[in-house]
Amino acid sequence: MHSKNTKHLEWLKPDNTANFCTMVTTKKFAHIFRLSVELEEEIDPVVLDNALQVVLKRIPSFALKLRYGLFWNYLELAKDKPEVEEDVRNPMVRRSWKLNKHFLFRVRYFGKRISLEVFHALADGTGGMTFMMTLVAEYLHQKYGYEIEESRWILNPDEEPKPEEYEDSYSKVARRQKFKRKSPKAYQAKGSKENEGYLNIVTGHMPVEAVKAKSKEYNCTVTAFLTAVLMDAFQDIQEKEKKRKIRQMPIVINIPVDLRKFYPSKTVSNFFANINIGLDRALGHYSFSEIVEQVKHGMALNITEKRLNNLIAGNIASYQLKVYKVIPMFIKKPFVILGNYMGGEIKSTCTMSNLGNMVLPPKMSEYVKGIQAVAGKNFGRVTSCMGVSYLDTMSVTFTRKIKEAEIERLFYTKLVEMGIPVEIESNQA
Amino acid sequence: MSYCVNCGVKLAASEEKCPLCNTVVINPNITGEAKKEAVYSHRYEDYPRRKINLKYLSQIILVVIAVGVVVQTLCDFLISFSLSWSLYAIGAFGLLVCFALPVLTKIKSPYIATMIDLVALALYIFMIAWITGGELWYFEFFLPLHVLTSIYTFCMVIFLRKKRRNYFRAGGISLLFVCFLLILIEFLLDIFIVGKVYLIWSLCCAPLLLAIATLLLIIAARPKLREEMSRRLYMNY
Repeated sequence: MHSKNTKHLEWLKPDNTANFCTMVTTKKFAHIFRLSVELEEEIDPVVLDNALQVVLKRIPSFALKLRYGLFWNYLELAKDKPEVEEDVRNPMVRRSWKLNKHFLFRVRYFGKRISLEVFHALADGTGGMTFMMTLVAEYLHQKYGYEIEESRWILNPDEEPKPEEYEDSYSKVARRQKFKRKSPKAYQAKGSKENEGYLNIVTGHMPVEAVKAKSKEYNCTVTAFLTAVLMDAFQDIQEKEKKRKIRQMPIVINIPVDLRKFYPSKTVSNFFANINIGLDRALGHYSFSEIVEQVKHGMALNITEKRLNNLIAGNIASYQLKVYKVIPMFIKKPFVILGNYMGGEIKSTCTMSNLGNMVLPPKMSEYVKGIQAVAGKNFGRVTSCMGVSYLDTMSVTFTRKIKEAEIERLFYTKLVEMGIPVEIESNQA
Repeated sequence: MSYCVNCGVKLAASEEKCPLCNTVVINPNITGEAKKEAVYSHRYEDYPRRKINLKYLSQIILVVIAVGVVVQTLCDFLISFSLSWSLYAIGAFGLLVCFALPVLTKIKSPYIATMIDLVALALYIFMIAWITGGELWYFEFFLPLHVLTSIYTFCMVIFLRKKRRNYFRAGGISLLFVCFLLILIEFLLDIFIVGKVYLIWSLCCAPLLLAIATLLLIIAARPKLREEMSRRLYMNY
């Protein structure tokens, strides 16, 4: 099934993020995200299945299955063929990889939509989107005879896979350096727990031009603007808290940054770093323009090659401790889960991931109506946010594991109040 | 296309109520036919719950323990050419088998299973009493306590099988039982050891237990009070 260029992939040491994701995965939780593409016509599952087999040969790093070693987990090339399946109302449910023939992704279809659910150990948003768009291009080729044009998001399915597409770019670019990470516990919204096996997904579609115009008005990027709106929403919720100590906790938004913009990497696997942008609430109430300034300057300060490299170096160094290497997996796993919760999850309020503007070849755009990105469940934080823009629409999706939709309500109504029209859709019955 | 009157957002035609504030969409201009198809499928994915094969697990555990019991019985026999201390282990193993019977066999009735467990426990303790020559404490002390505990256990089984369970009532009754049990233990101990009854420590505990039990029974009898309490003690997770 696989070509000779995939010999390196027979078994693979997971990259830094993959290592982390596999270690914090439990029976109830795994880092999964979802990408959806809406086409103009109903999806043909047979064609989709054929397209998937073709694309999997081109991007074999998605055909990896998770194996459990004594000291570390590793990834191994799966020999089976994955199958496409009908979509569900409660996507991104953690289920045994066994039920999926050990593949760490799922391709689903419903109506005019194709959805891809990916375990973060395989790829980040950019890698996932590359797989998704190549799959859609191949589907369109098989269904309508569309001539595939290679672009930033689309690989040529007829080409052989290249080793640089599944390389571990982290260890390639990370420099040895000292790193310091100390941050206070961040504010986290709370609510009544949603039923296990169900995630509330709410998507807001808005005109890109309106969002851009508003960002320009505040002299910031779209990501900074949306982060500021999200922070403002959290500020409103936090101010209703009864305890003063909680009211004064910082609001910290976690923003994943695509490192391919800083380093010449062609990897389809993970290559991103998370930066935290905070609002010191002990200093009092912030007006929206003050929040924008905080976010804008915080991002400018943190999104630099040196800072990002320091973050990667820190992540890699923690796995390179000799003592840590020789401790069996079953002993260190609970400590990694606890460390992730204490050192990461509780130190940020929410994630705001913006995949940016998707530009597809003009002919392909005629078939593709819309694109959505959905962040997965977090271990501790109750909600996550992910956005993507395509043609004239920006879609911002919230994933929530509590019943109350207060965060999204405040976020979208703030946008409406600013003059940005928002159209809402959800997975609620 | 409808708008939420509360949030001001436009709602996709598939939404019957606003997902942000649950306000129901009422738009007389949109008929059922004009409604856009659903964005998400109606199919739900089953949330996997791990099923443990209890029968298989019990069999493995029992086999492992049985091996241990056989080995120690042989050791006992080879050392003293009789069965002395190994009888305790054999008895305990028998008790364990009785506890595992509902899983190993087709006994479905919880009353029969509980009855078997209680009788087995009584027999095992009797065996210990018989070996140590303590029939007196068995009949004068253990048996009355065991009968009382058995009645309580059956009450709890009946309670757990009820569809609508009032935990406050069960808690109140349980505390009353504990209160009565403590008094009975001291009563029996006094008769058995001294020959006269001097109730001291059990009467010290009794008022506190009775007070809590009364409180729980009052709460159990008043649904409005329970509702008020659950509202006041509501905890975000």
